[in-house]
Amino acid sequence: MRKILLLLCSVLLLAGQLIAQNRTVSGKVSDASGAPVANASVIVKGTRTGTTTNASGNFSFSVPAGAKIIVISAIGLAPQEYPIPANGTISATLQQDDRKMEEVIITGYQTRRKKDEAGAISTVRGKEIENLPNPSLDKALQGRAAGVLVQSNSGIPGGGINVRIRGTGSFLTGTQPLYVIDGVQLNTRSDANYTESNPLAFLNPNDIEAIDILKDAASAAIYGAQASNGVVIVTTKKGRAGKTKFQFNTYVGQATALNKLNVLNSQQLFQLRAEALGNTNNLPASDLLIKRTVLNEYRIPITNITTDKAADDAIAALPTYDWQDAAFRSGAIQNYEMSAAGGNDKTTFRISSSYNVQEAIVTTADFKRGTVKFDLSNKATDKITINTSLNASTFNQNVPFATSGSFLGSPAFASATILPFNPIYNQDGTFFGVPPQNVAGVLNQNVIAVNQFNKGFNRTNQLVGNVSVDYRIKPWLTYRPFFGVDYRLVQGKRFTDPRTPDGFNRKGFGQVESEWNTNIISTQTLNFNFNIEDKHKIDGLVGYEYRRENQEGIGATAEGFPTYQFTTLNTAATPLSTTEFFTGYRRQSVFSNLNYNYNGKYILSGIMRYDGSSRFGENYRYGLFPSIRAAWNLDEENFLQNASWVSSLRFRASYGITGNDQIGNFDGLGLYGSASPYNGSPGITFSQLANPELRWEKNKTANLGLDFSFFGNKLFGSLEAYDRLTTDLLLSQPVQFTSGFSSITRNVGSISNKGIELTLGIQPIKSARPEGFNWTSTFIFTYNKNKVAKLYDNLQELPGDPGTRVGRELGSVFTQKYAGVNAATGRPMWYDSLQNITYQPQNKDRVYIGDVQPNYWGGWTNNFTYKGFTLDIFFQYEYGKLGNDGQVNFMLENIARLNSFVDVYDNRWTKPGQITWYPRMNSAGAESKGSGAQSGSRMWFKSDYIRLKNVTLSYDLDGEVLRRLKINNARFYLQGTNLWTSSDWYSYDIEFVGTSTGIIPQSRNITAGIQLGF
Amino acid sequence: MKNIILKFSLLTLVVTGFSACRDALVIEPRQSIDATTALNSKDGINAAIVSVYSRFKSVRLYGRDLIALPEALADNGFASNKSGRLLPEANNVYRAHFGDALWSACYNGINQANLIIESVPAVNAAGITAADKTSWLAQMYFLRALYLFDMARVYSYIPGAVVAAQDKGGIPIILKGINTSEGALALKPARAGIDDVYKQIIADLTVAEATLTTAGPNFANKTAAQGLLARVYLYMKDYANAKKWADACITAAGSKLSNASAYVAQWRAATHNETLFQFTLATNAENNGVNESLQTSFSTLTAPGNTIVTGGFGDLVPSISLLNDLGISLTGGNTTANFTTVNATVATRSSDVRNQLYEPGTTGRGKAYIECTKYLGKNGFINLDNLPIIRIAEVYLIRAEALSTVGSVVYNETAALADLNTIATNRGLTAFTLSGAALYEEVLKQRRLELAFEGHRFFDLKRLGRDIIKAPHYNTVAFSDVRILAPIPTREVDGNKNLVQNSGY
Repeated sequence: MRKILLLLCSVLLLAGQLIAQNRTVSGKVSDASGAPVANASVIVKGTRTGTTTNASGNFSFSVPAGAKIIVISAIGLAPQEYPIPANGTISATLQQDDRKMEEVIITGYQTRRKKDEAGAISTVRGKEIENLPNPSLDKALQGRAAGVLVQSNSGIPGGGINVRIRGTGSFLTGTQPLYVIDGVQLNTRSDANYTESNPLAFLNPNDIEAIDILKDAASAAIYGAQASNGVVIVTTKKGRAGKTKFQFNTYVGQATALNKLNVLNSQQLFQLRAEALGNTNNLPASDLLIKRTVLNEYRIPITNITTDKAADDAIAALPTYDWQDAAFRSGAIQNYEMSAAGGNDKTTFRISSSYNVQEAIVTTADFKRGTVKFDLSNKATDKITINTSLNASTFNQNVPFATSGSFLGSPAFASATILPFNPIYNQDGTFFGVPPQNVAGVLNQNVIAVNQFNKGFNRTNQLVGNVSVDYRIKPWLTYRPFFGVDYRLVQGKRFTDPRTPDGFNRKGFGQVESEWNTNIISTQTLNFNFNIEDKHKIDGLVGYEYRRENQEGIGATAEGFPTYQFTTLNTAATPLSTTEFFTGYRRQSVFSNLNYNYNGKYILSGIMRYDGSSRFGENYRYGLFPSIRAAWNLDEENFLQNASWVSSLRFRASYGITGNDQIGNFDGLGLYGSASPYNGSPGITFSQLANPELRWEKNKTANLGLDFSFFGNKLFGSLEAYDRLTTDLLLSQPVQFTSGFSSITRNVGSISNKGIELTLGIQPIKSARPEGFNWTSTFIFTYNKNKVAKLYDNLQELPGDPGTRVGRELGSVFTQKYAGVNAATGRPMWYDSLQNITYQPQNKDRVYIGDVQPNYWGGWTNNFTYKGFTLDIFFQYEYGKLGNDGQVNFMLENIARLNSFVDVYDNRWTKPGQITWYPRMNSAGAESKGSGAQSGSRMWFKSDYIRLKNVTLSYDLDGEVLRRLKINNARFYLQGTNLWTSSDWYSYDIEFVGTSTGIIPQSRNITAGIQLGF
Repeated sequence: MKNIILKFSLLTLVVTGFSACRDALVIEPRQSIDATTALNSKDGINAAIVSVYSRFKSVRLYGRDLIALPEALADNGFASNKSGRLLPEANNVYRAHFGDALWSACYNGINQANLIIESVPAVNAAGITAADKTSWLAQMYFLRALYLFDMARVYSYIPGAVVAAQDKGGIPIILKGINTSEGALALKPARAGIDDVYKQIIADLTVAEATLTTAGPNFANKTAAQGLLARVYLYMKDYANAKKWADACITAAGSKLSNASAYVAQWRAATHNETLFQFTLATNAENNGVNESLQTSFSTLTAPGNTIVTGGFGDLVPSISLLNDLGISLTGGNTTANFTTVNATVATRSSDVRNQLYEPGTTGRGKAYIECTKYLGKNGFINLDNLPIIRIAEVYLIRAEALSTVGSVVYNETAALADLNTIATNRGLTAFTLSGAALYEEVLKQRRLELAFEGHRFFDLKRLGRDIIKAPHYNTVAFSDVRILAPIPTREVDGNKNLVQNSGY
């Protein structure tokens, strides 16, 4: 490979030698505002002779004697031709190019004009997501790019986010896209064990200039085996030549709960419980024995309660406490940023720092981040530019007792379900029901105390940086060595307080962990860019890349602390365990990209990447990922030149293959791993069968695209259709348990995703003057049809997993259809396979009732401007999926062992003839010879929603005031997040991934900020 | 000059950038080792053997299910519904039974054992003696037999107590180790006959008994093998062999049986003196935790008599019928209503010392029940208790049953009564003078009392073909009911046409 590369270099070098040079032309290039334009391309028309401007916009170069015209072009500006004057000095002014297509995008190792790109690439500008109170950038993409589905794991600030580009194309392996920040391919695995932590939270989103999302395989193929799920390329803000500009920005605000669950008071719950016990024991709920039983459960002394009257008085006297009120709080949001950017014609820089605090609305969970970012670019010589970008960041998250789950101490879960007559505090203000006492009921821990006493944090220290050199060997040929590092240290500590039930008997329990990940990347690229005559533009690159990643970690636990004030492990009496682990992988690749552009009309591009990864089986270490793209810029054709209503119009088509290597690092090897010890001796066990055939999942995407802009940008957008097929799908193929193993990871299946993406923008009101009233509305819509195309052995269904079957979506829900309640008896009923009523549905009665992936999703942005005012209103929506919430399941139980929804109280079956969906109460949960009341489709709910995600109102001071105040810009803004939601969802928050129980919900955030530049 | 330096530096960058090529993709795991060489050393085999033992500690095996479920599914247990666990099992809710994980864990253990059995003869690393090999093999045969036995009694009928119309045979017998993907994919075994399974169990135990040299009670040992042979033969209704091996076991065990005054105290020690074999939980890292350990399953107490501090859930408490038979009467009369409504206190106790292992729990998680205190963190940590497999007392009762069962070729009322009374008198009861059916029934009753909350009752009723009378708590489960057998994992049946699911699932 290296030989080929060298050969190619020499050919290109020779080509460059053929041009003689003998006259000097110099000048300066500025934009409409008079600011110098750096890096503008200046070439003699019809040749490859040329140069670029320096940071001050100046250029100077030799031209052949016969040269008459030079062409000056720069990214984002309209190209302009100038005749060479006799004195050889040119003062050029380039106008802003108002055509949408002139945007530039980063396509992976290259910066290109969007108009020259033939792939499906969405771009989100830093401006669009500026100042949103999101700790991480992935969250900000929600609803803003067609085809990109963003869902949260929970509402924990800095918590995990799931991003899916064009559907789920994988079953076992990762489904997250590859993130590349300023050329550094990030590791986005979460290493924090004590809370939800998002590795992308290290970056202050306000440092982002743009996010380019490579969606089709043809564009993403340049990242080969990592690109199957798409690639998100983040470019951060850099400095520009000129006077040093300072920006100060701050916002503060508050996060509050979206809603509370509507739960019962003590008397209502008592009634349900009495009915449950009564029905089970064939007694009326009003029977004194039953009432005494429940009172006894509720810890009311019953020795003296011997009459109905005494019992009823005792019931009426039960107090009700609002545990949700105690568990939820309003959280503070604060953000402070300062940046300085500037430079001269040789050196540009940008320094920024930020501090961000977000408190969760539940218990003590929070997020605190400090970042320092430094960018420097220096033109060492005419030919050599050195660049560096460093981002050092630390964020600390106080962890709640539990981020989710049906744990006794899980705040979102237990605060709604704990029996409400339990007081939270004693008379003296201390916590009620802490050890050696406890609170009544199954949830017998004081969840407020548990979350207040227990402590813990996860701290992530991260350094992402790179150094690169641009060596302009020839004006059309640049060699670029690039070295990047992504180093992350995650430290965590968790202390189970001896004053809490879990820590009481063991006198406290402490855990510490430390995990570090070293991800090093080296990329060598040779970029070329030249024209043949005037009509043929050729550009591209060849490159070699090596990436290595090592992950190591240690941890320890101990118990037996002297008092609750001692929390460090050295003070504990009994060390319990120590852990250590190591894992890692290596990857090396060569790649090339070649783009050909004929006269701005026809574009053809090809990508090849040859990738090797240590993760795969001996026989399949390397894979080839090719792609081809073509575009036709109709607007450049003569027949449309006179159609003034067409601002731009182009067709695109692409086809490519990418791979997915997001599997375990050693999945192909036959291994004996450690096993549980016995009698003090360590054990090993055959943990994994060898699979030398393990290889990449292949993702083949065909893409058709149409970009349009009509009537002077009043109507614009793009339409994409894609067919994405994943083959060699890795499945954990079950083997008979009798073999001693449960499954083998094999490349056996296939998944198809087909979809349509529409981005449609209109400007219903466009004022002639910029300060007039303008309204731009952008609607983003994605339709994705996901389907399992093939399993192994011609199976129609994965054994033991009826949700995965051929022809259906991944995550299909197969279950028995709930038929409501028998009006005569109150027993829950289901339909069997013959559509008859059954009380005890069987596996064969399961039917398809939907799936957990949305069919449609997107966003709707409205932007209004008038004078200095800007109003942004942003909605997002998801449609066509089912959800299941464990907390709701618990709260819909007919046992009344936990607090319940008012709905259950209002609608439960109580008397013959009553038609309802809520079965009669029953303390066993299931009627005799009946299935549990929670079985089947009853617990699956539609989870469609539309949410007013964000509203921003800002005001920019106008020029006159600014001049008087001697500042460059000043903006005041007010922002609200999650302001309104329309959905039928029962639980706290509709936005979550998968099946959830007791997740800490998202919050409604209101912030106000000010941004000053001087 | 500056240019030359820059160019030289760039060249260096190029070289660094490309230098990785050759061994670029080499990286070895550090927490695991290559499977092909893992069993080539003495330490490797010893560590692999450890895993065959340690798998039994899982809560899906003896860690909980094999001890607690036979009590819940049968008539010994009542579910207190304090965490909701074991409630469906105690109600005999359809499919609330031994779970899929039991099946997979047992076959995993069998495969590990098979691989060791196949590797041992050929391995000749330093320090391995012939005696080592014999001992290794004997232990593997012992444990393989135990895995097979537990599977056999859970998933199929027991010889001599079969509902013919619902009988789908025994379980697949796997005696060849699987160590390749191809081998695992190709394996589609059918169920062996019930008798074949028991033959294999006997064969493995017989080899183990003849060659075991390790010492008990934490490791497979000769006396335990004899005791288990007696138990398996009793299940098979081969009473002559049951007696033969019980004789051998009792002789070998010597004076292990506790007397009435020592019995309860022995239950507070980490290892009961009567134990022939147990799975030990040596360190607190092996703790099965507050949700599913034996202690939390059976008791809310953290120490005998201390009702102030609440520990676990106490999900399964003794049924009224068991308490009655143990000689415990509750305050206010022994009625169902009082049992489920009022905090339980003991009114009177008989002289049976075994009932001292049952006492009121705490009110920390709802009303107090009488709870079994056989497991109260005896190993020094809460929720950490050794897991009992076989005690010498059981062997006496096996022999008594073999001698008193009508039709037994070794039927001998006198000898049976002697064994029964050995147990009775060592438990604070006066000696019985019984014969015929009354004698037999008393043997079964004493077996229930002696081994309550040790994982026997469901299997004892099942091997005798008896209905499970759960009154007054729950409905009776007839022996002919499909719920007597556990469902084979659906996934397993779906993926293997040769494997027939049990009736009714």
